[in-house]
Amino acid sequence: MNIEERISGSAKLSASGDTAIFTGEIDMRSPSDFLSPFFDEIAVQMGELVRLDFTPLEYLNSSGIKCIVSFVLSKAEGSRIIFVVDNNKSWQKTSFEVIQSLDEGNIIIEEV
Amino acid sequence: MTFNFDLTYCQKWENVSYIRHFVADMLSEEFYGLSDSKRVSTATSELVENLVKHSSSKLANISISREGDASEILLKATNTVSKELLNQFETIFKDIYKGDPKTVYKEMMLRSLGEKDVSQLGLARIRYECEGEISYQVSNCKDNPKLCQSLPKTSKHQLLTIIVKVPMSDQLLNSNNKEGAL
Repeated sequence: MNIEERISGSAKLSASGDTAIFTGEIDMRSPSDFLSPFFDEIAVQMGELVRLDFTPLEYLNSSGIKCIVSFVLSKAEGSRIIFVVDNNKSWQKTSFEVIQSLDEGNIIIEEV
Repeated sequence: MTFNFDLTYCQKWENVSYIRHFVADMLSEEFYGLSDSKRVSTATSELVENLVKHSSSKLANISISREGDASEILLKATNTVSKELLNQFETIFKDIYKGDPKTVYKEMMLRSLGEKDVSQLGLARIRYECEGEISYQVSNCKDNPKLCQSLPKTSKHQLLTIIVKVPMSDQLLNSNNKEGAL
């Protein structure tokens, strides 16, 4: 994917190959203003599989979780998502497991 | 270890991250373990976000405490609310206790997609991810006049206090008990 890097406060969104990377803390009042355009570009450029790497993400507020849920449920039919999560960040495992359960057949969790 | 952190603060969005970082540092892993520290700071952050988004006045209050060897850390978040906001809160509160924490969190994720500007996920997240036991109290402004001072005297606003008990991890409690035995 060829997506321009975005920065807001301590949060950074970037992409490399088939992986989108979420870094820092996403805790703004309206994270959809920051995340949704990024997800829109991913949706356009992704192939059948996209990796969303959350391992460098330290915090994501509940409004940000809503944005991820929205992306997951609006992806093209037949496409698959890999959530890459940090085993040492328990919030990632708990929240992303619940998001995975919304579309278990097409979402995989990879713990590192 | 007994402690009580009590802060009345100005309702600015920037304060959400300041308070979250302070709480995470205060309960750093040296004292409470990384998991406990993160669960408490995440619950605090979600509560403070709610206060900033939904308060009627300029000030709000957050307190974080632990009494002696208590097995939980107690969070209390207080702000002023109109009757309408209180009704909305009570509806959400009932909804998040309609099932087990994980199922409700999932249902609230789906429901959030129909909400335009808010997620309404915060309390469900506190209950599941932070393992928080949530309750609330409603009282009159005279119980904390400072929080109501920016409101008109004729205002019928009330004080809403959301109370969250975050349990400490068994491993840490066992470790504390062993230290006590020595």
